[in-house]
Amino acid sequence: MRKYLIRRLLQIIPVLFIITFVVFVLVYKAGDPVALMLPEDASESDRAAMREALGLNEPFLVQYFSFVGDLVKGDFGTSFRSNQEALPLVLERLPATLELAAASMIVAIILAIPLGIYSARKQNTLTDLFITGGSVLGKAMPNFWLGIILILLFAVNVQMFPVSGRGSLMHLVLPAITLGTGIAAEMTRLIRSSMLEIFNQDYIRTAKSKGVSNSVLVYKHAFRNSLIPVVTIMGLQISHLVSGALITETVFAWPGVGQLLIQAVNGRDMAVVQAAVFVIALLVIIVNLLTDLAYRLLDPRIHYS
Amino acid sequence: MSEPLLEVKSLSTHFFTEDGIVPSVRNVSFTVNKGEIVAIVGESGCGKSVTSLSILQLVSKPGRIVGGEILFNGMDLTKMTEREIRKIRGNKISMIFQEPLTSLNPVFTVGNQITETIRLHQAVDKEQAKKLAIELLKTVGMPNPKKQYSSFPHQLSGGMRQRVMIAMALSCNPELLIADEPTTALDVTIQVQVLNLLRKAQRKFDTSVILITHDLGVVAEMADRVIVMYGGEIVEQNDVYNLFKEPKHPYTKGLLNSTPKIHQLEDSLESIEGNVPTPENMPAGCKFNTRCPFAMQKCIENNPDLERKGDGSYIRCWLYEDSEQEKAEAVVSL
Amino acid sequence: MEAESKPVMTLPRVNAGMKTSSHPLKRWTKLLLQSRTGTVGMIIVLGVIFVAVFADLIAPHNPAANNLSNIMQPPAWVAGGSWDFALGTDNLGRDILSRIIVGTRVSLLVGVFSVVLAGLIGLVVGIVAGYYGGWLDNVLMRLVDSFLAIPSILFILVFLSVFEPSITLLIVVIGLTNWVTYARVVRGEVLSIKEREYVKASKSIGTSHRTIMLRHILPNIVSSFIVISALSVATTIILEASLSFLGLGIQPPDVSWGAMLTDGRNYLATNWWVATFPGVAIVITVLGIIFLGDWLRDVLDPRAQVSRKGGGK
Repeated sequence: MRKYLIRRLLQIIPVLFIITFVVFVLVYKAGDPVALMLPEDASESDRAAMREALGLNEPFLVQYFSFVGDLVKGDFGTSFRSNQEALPLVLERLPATLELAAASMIVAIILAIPLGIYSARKQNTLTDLFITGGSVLGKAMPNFWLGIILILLFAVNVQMFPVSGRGSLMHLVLPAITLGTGIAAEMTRLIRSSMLEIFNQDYIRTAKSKGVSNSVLVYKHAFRNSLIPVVTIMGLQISHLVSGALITETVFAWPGVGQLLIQAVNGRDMAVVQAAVFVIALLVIIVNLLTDLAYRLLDPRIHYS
Repeated sequence: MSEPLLEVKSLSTHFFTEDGIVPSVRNVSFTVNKGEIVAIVGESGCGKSVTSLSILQLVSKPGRIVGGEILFNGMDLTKMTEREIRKIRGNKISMIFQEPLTSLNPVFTVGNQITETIRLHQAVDKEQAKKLAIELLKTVGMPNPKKQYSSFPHQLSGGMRQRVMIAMALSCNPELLIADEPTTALDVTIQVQVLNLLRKAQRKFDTSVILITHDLGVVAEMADRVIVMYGGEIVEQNDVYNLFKEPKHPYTKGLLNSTPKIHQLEDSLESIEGNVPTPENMPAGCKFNTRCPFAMQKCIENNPDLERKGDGSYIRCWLYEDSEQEKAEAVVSL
Repeated sequence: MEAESKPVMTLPRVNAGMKTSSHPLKRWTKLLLQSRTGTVGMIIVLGVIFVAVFADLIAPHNPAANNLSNIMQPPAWVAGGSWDFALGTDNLGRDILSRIIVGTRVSLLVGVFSVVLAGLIGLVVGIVAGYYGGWLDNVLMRLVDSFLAIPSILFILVFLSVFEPSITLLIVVIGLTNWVTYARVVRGEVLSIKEREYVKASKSIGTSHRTIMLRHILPNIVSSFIVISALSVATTIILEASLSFLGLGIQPPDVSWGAMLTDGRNYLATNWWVATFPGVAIVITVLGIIFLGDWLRDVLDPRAQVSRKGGGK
């Protein structure tokens, strides 16, 4: 177990290397950071001074390592929009994003588990067709459009929920449904197909031959096994969750990291872009590690080797 | 003669597939007496597994029992509700399957799976169930049963897993044990151990056993009576001694000839020509006529009935067609 | 990003007519007509392609023309609407139907070309890694794993914060970040094909690596490649629309469905149609592609076919 954890943590290193390298090359080599950081009417001598101050005249590797060194210290630079340190700016937005992500996952789970199981049990009936059809539709619907339609229906036409912002639980409902639906669609599909596969397994027949009731059969014997592939794939779904969160936060003016990142990209506020990208990437890596551990807990056949 | 525990009467089970109806079991009748071991033999696809699954109403979609009765202690299992049959399953009648690895649920411990059966059918609490389960594991010869109680199926060897299956099957002292190819997936040395265990358990609990197998060695070792199936039908039935001494149906003869015998030095091992026809290619008349060395015009036109002979055996073959007089004698001797 | 998964809909069986008909086009049409969702998907996709190609001829109005006398006309079937502007007009009096028709172009362009680019890179990397194996495979796959560990949207956003957005940039950026999925799948296929007897036999008689790759390996991975590509066109169209919606994708005067929604969002309370119809266009297009893609998978991928039939005895 310990050995496995260490190995997994070591695997993070190349990931971090790649992301720092890509960001560095893009921002400092391909782009023109000086132009971004100084006002447009800055003089040539100001530019030269800035270039020197940023160390842009040093050799490539020296620059890269000093860039990484700053990152390790948590120094992502200062947002030139708000004149604040970039990292605290991002971290202060984190709770809002985590709240939204958690609420969406709850929505997704509440929808997907019963629907997936039900449509597997009723395979090839009208209900099954309805549920599978609905999950395809959920997949085809872009997040932002669903968000807008929900606002139109439940905040504008029927004024049940606030249009945007964060605060009460009511504020959370529409964004969580928007972000949760897409994930639920994929999850329903997965649970259905994995349940169908498991219904054909020998151990289900054994359980039946023991006199186990239908509900125990489905919820104990089959569902517990179906969670194994579902959790694995859910780890992959995390990127959908991230891109969905960026958009959903923007649609509902939800004050999270996603909204901040999109604003920073639009305003070319590079320090904030970098800080937000790194924080999100790190978060994703941690969540992936956790799902991997959960997967190992669910499946006793896996050894920590 | 001892009283019958299970009477299968004219059982037919068909599979309703997209390509048409596949009659896997047709008009099968046999009885199992108390304390008796009945073997059902035949090549794969002959309907022996479907027959055994039909007894406990475990045939899964698109399969369905389309006719017949299955009387267990006089009650018809085919007429029972789901709730009623569940009280029989694992309790009065239990099953052991061929592949112990896939037949045990991988995410639950051995102990969990045994106590589940116990607690379903007996009014005991968790602690008592655990005690019973450990006792059962000891009975089936598990070394260190306390420790193995909390191990997962994948941590055990094939033979040990099959012992767990047997422990689970015996957990409620069933009156009938259906063992579907219980040793096929095991190593030869382990096979003997598991068979000995089954025999021991059968004597200890006076359980009746239906043993499904294609291995005639196992049949000779274990069975009291043998049913030979081909193409979804019973073609011959006799007690084990007479069947091996004097097989009648050409298919039974073929089966016996294709098994090597240690006492007879033979130049070559015979085999039955051809393959079991697929359901859609099942011939008219006698199902075995495509492979039978004695096939006659009659065999292609009409399927013979399964007839009871004077010596108590049953045979489905035109070669053994009784004269009217013999038939009458057979009826009298009933 | 998209994990390989089982077919969504239970489609009617499609393998029956495989052998009989002679002409390939005839055979495929027959196969297609056996699947209801596949047929619907094909009709939608062909329709979308037709609209994209002939956008200029079909569009009833100039999509960019402001017409201040016709601001915020509702759709034709709503009181106050007219069939002249069937789906209404936006805040600048531009015809929404015409803008949707022209926007088809951008969606398809970005969807198809970025997938082609990603596919080509992934194909090359996957074949090289799978075929040669060894340290090269190790390095390439570690790279792929690392890219997969981070949502590709983050890379895309860094790109877009550095460069001026344009259609070409979008295609390149999406292509450069999405090739990893292909590399992974292609490598897996190559590894299994490499071990087959006929490839080994071919190698033993001295066939060159290049010939083996082109003659034996490439044709064998084509079908799974087509299937992933089809479905990833759908996700890319959504991605492009999302980026344009965020103001990071297609810029005016180019028309994009995503950007149309950004405009419409501001008038939600009074003029619902501005934001609604571009979204409907996205959903219909994406649904069509998913249906077609699922059908392709059923027809081309023998494994999916087995799992669809179920493993009963």
